[in-house]
Amino acid sequence: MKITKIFVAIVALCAIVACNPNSGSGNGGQTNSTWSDTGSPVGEWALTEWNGSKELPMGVYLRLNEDNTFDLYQHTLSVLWVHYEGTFSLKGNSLTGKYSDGSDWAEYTIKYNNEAEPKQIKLTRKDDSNDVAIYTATEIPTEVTDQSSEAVNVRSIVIEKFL
Amino acid sequence: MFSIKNFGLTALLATMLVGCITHDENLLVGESASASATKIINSPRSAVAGNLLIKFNEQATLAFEKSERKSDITRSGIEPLNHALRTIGATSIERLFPIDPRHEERARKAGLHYWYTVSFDSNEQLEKAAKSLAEVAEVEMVQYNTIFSYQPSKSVVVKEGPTTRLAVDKVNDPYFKDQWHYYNTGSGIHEKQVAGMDVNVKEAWLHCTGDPSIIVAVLDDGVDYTHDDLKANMWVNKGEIANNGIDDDGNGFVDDVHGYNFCTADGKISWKDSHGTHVAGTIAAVNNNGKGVCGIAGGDGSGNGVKIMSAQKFNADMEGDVAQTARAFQYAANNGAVIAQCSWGYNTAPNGQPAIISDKQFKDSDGATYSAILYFQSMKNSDVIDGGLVIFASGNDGLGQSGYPAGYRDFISVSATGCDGMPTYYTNYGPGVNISAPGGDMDRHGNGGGVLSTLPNNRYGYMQGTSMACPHVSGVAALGLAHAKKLGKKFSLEEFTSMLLLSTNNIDAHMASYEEIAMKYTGKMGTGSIDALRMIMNVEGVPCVNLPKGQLAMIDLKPYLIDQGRDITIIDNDTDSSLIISNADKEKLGITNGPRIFNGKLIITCEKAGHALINVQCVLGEKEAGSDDKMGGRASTKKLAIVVRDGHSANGGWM
Repeated sequence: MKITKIFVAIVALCAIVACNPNSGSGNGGQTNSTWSDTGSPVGEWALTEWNGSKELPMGVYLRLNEDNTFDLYQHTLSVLWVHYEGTFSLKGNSLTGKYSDGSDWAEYTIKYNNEAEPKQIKLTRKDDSNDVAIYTATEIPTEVTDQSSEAVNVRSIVIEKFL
Repeated sequence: MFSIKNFGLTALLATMLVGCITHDENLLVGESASASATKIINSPRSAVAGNLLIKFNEQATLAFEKSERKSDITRSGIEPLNHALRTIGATSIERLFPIDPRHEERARKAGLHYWYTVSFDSNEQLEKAAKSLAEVAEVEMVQYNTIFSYQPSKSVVVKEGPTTRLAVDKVNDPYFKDQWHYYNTGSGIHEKQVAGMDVNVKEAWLHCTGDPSIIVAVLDDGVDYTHDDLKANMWVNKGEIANNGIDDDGNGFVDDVHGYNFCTADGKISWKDSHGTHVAGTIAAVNNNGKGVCGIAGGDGSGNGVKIMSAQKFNADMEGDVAQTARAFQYAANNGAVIAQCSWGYNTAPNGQPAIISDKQFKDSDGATYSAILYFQSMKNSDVIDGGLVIFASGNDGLGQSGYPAGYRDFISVSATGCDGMPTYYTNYGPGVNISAPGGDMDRHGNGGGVLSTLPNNRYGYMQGTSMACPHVSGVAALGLAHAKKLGKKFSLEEFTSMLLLSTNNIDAHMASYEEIAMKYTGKMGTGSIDALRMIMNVEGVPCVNLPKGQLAMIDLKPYLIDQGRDITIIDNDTDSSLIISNADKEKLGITNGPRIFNGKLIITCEKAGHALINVQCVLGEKEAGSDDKMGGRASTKKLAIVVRDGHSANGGWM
């Protein structure tokens, strides 16, 4: 009856509450500063704002590595954390990526806020300018990185098309 | 579980009384005999002699409060009442629920001030006195002050005196290894013991072990507050000085340092029996102190356990009456408790059948207790939750329905399982039962198959019963509230109750391979067996449902609400979408039609990206919700988050 995944989720959820820049006082990051075209996406990031909302029901961590690989940790389908990996590419301000299973990312325009403390990046989808996500630099909790389930386990999204 | 004798019978007898009472025209003052008879809501059987509880109507209460009765109780301002008081030789008439100036306004709002207790010569015929008072037009109800009693609890002492330190995983309490009900390894107790048939505290403790702001009132016999494994987690009324005979904090009670003894009407808590002390240990025995046992929300040894308040409603003779019970609930509410832990209930009728079979019957036959519990539920004593949780044992009579008060639809009724994860032979099950927890089965699995907890005088021992299952749920609820406190989260009473009842494992699936057991108990043990880790998880957040933008989607909601197989019924909603999602969120997400919930599935089209919360109406534990006339499951609303975003990758990745 014990479900390891649940344990994983709990550890990770605790971690994100502790680490999510939205969850504590005084560390929410600044989003009103100047967004610049120059900067580096390499680092560890937490999704802290999406489409103007900071109270997000889901959690997303993104690690963009020097060698253009990425690790994505998210709990969006349930309270379980899920790990994805693959590669990304940056050409100018255009950020694209491909999951290890061959699926593509959406294509994003990236901006940098190097003055914010901690730093932030803003990703705007090129096919939907209303889809704007702000990520804040943070250390991804080890509980998340160590214990997330692999994406293959949760691909059945339980969405059924009507007719 | 206490064997509370005779009180359950009262409702049936009261009903019979209404139909067969003999008229005595000489006694009539302001009411017809038949009308006055209906005011007597229960039976005189096992009632306190020379004492009755009465409830005035509002106008009479106001007149009575302004009267000069203090100098002469027969100058009540209500002449028919004066006449009745003289007739029965009344010696006092006092408020049933004492005045606590801090909460008097709330008490009046709840109608507690309508209730009075009338004392008179104990040689006076009780039934005659009841009739006299019932015939006063200003008196709405007369209730006999029934005595609850119970047999001494069976306990098996395993250790007395100091214990030695022994490291066991995260905690160093030496008997933790024997508390299978917290962490069941599948061996060491009985050959039929099954690993995982526990409340899963070890993993939950990684995240939270308690919080001293969460106060659990144990309405029982007294809790041994001097026990080495309890005293650090006993509630302390800081405004009160012990044994000085003064109500230092002005709450209406003298010397109530760790609670109050409502049987002796003083602050001297007593513990002749082990029941209250055992129950308290399950909730909050001090963890990681190198002594004895663990409590589910007993902290980590740094003083951060939840607190136990002893609201003693049973005396040294293992008796307590309605007035004492009602006052105990009021005291718990007025002095900070957020959970009322109640391992007791009415007994069955002499023929072994349930004495009370509906919510209406319960309300009608024990108005004083019902009013007091509603008052407790209405009190907001924590930032975390806006009311009080009331948790009862379902009963030990092996009946196919919950006992009462447990079975009332707004209270939580707990049934019992053994170390094999199966329903115990004694547990009540079926309508009215909300959830299950380990209660132990010493008859089948030996002494070690009981629940191990604290006993008075620094002892430890095993006991069994739904009385022992109940504090497991209280402990997990306290742990969930403590975790919510840590996270700064706030819940309504209804929200938190739903989360608690959905923090369960699938007991039906476990029973499935045992045909005889499955036939008897499937779907009848509430939502399943309580799981502390799931409680923590539910406090952490709501599940997210991802939706594509601009597409009609049909989502099976059940997997997001509960593991497959547990007993939950999602209510269809094809008519009023505002019950599912707010109009503001509909506009935000570009929803122009619906959404609907049909056949357990959410049918929705969102034209804009974003997120929102949706409400899913469901019934937990049964197919239909309970009502006044029919016992059933608990109606509940579960929240889910929907995240609408176009073009998610085929693999569900966010990017």
